[in-house]
Amino acid sequence: MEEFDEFVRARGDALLRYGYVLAGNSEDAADLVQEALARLGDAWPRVRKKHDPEGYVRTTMVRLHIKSWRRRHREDLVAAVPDHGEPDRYADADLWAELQELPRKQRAVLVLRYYEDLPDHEIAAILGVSRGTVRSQAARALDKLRIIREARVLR
Amino acid sequence: MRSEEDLVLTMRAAAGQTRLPPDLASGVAGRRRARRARKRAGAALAAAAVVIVIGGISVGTSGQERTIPPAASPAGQEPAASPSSAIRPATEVWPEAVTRIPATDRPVTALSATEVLLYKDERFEVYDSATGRTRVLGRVPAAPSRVAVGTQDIAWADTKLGLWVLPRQGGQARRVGTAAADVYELAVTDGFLVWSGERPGVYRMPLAGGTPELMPGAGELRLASWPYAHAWDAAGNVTRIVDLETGRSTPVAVPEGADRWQCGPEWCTGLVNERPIVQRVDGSGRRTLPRTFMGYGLWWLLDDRHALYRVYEPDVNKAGVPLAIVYDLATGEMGGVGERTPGVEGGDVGRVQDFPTLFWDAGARFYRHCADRSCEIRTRGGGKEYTVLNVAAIRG
Repeated sequence: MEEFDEFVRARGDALLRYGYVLAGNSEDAADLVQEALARLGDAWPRVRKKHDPEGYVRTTMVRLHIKSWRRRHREDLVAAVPDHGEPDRYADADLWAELQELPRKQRAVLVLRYYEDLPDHEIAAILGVSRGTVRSQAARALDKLRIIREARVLR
Repeated sequence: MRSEEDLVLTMRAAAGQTRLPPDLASGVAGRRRARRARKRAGAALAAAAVVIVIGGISVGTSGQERTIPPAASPAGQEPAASPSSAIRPATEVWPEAVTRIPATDRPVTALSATEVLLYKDERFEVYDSATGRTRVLGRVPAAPSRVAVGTQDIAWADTKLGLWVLPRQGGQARRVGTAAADVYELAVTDGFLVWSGERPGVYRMPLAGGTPELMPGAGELRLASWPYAHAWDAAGNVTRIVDLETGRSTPVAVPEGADRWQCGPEWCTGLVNERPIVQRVDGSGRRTLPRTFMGYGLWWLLDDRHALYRVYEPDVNKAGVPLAIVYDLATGEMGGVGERTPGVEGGDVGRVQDFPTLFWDAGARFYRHCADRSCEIRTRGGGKEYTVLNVAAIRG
């Protein structure tokens, strides 16, 4: 119990940031993180044995998000990135808004590949799809976002 | 056109601007409580009873838990530690509350000193230990997910939100109506079915039928044990107790830093600094329980004044250590439930829903089974009979 609480304290912020990139808004991000952490808490003795609670939570979050997470209204989805604090010079508000418009699975693939920096075979394992599906979903999403793919080392 | 680098930077910039909610930990605790309730609500009773037995009390299955010393408690509040092996068995302390039934039956709850309600073969039945016979109450046309026992009727919600009653004396099941959402807590009174679900709000419907009606003043409450309902804070601590019959509302004195705070009409228990404490609803009579006591799950109250605690016993090989302790919050009387197999930190104690009935197989021995880097506690032997402790029958 104590260990789990410590994990929540230590990793909560990072998980919320990940949830925000996945879900696109703070409220859904907090929902996702809380639900995933609640599941982790219930499974803690088992998960702790496998030495990767963080992987468990992140996988739970992305699966929850794709599967059933509640869909917010469109007007919420297109809120610009810098809704508070200093606008970041790298933030492309249009790109962020367009990301929200993508189907969930495509968006999740992009988050796992570009934010989590995971190789396609791990993304495939997390999402429970083939590597080919990961590649085609990513390609379709990048096309929609008008992103030119650089020559990627095949991974 | 944009590059992949733009995508990476945009995601990172967005991540850096997340608004962080003030208290993630209490939100998670509240979720865990709701999840537990949801799990209970979702499973049909036949399946739930089995799961509850298997998933009973598996104390410290990791083998690491026992190396964590209990948190210190403030000086002066510590009662003398009672050695875990000196706790008398509940069967000796409260013989009037103990029944035994064949292990082929799964009890739902005890109905009286000798009678136990069973659900099997799509029927409700009553086993009477005085005669050793089983009597059929009636057929159950739609599998129950949540059951309530009233003075006149047995009521249940089925897995498709249907609400049913069957006379306690036996007879024909009757469909009363339909709930609007999953039923988590259910009670049957002389005139009404009363229930609450995932979201706050206590509803009722006349036994004669009708539509669900939100009970007056109960919009923010959850049904506890009829006639009581509770208000919770975000972390799931009980903050107010309302008597739905009289409308009387009693604020709960929740200690600073309390976790999993839970109350009957008079007594509360919960964790403060990881140690279980007990006090009256108004905050008086506070005491920290001995080190032997540990919280169990998220809700360990069994009825209005008895609670079920896990046992902290660092010597895993010690003999005569109970699996759990039933503790009377008012008098401090306690009894051990089941017995550990030396070398194994846990075992199974069954409980269906929130009924104040525990059952265990006194002939079973436990062992640790480890595979794929995780361990679970399994049972061998036993299988003849269950010892059933009807906590509601414990009274001086």
